[in-house]
Amino acid sequence: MRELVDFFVRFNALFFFILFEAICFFLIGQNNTYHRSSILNSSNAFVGSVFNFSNDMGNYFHLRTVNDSLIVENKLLRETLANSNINQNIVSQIRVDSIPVLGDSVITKKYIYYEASVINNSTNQLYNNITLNRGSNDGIKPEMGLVGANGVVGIIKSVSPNYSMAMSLLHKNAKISARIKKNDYTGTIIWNGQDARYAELQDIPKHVELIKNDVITTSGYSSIFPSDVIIGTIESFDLKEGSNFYKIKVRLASNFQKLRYVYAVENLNKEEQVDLELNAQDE
Amino acid sequence: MLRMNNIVVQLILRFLVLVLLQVLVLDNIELHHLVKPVIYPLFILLLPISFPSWLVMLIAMGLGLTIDAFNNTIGIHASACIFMAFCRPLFLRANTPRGGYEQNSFPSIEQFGLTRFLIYAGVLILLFHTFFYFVEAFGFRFLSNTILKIIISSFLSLLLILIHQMLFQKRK
Repeated sequence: MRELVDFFVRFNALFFFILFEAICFFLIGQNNTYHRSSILNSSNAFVGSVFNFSNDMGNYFHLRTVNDSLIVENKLLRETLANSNINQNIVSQIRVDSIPVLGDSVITKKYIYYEASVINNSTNQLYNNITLNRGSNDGIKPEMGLVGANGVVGIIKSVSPNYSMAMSLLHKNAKISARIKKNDYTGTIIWNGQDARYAELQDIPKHVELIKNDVITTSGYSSIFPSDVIIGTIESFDLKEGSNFYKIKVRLASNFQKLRYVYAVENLNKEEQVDLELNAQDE
Repeated sequence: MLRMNNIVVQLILRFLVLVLLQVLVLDNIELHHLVKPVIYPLFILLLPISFPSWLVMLIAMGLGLTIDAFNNTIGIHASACIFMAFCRPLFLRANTPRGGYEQNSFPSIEQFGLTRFLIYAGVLILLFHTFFYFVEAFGFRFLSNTILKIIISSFLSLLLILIHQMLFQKRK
């Protein structure tokens, strides 16, 4: 009888163990889908406010580095602005000549940038995520691209009124369409789950000529990122025997361990593009 | 009854301290991608011995989900916590002193002595990390990496737990 009770007690624990683990794995499974609305993540108001508080405390220690990075970014933007002025002169000249070759498409605003500060970020897991202090009240929506001062950072995954959570580029499931700037070959950037400084570029066929330090940018094919945002540079590449594709190691342009300020990018024509592509698939 | 209330208050306080320590301090330490020490499993290690295993597992799940919410890894920490909570009684039973445990005692260094506590904590922490990293990788794709992570992080976590215990368990 005693043994029977003992057995039941032990069986009891096992039963609860299986039940609880089943719940957990169900949650993990749900978390792996791209579209989701889970309350238990860092876009949750409570978790967000804890991170916000701790970020407020720590912010002062980073002011110098933030300043430096902003100056560098400013310089870059001024340079681009100076260059784009020339282009606009050309456009206006064309208009004066009453040849609307480029028309309105040049002027139309296609992307809106929202600034946000990073209140939580990790780089040493397989699923790294970034929490931002902006949410749906500020116009942030899921599936907006996230760009840092130096380059691509991630994709917004879920939003709450005041906070949002983004999948970092350093995420096992992250896949970003990329292009080699000099010859326009496109591939996919993935992260191999190891070093936060490097990612991997796939699907580049073996006949393409590569050199170290070739610049990799976004392709602009997906509706998430604008084209020509820098992702990184080629660190090394190698071609396995019998393989038709390179294995390319990319040094990421963004320093993920020091992310402070980022920009969420909204593509105003996104719905149009997605609808068009879906309709075309259906036919 | 008063004593029980005392224990509950103590547990809630310890829960808050360990979770905040984990989330606000330890999670921000990024030395290397293989290094990710944790201290919060200490909470499960130190739960009173008299708690039934289903309750320990339920608490472990709550703790794990809290940490998960901060890390955006829903379910991964929780499943490892539950696994650790499930294994805990096996080691407690093996360590039972003659005449059984005292009422309301919990597995601390004073209760076990340093060596036995080290074995108890070490094995459970190792099990925790093994489960955690295999669930995180969800397969054997990163096998060598996973094993390195398990060994290094287990060692560091155990070290942290020991330091924490040495610092805060000297009241008597």
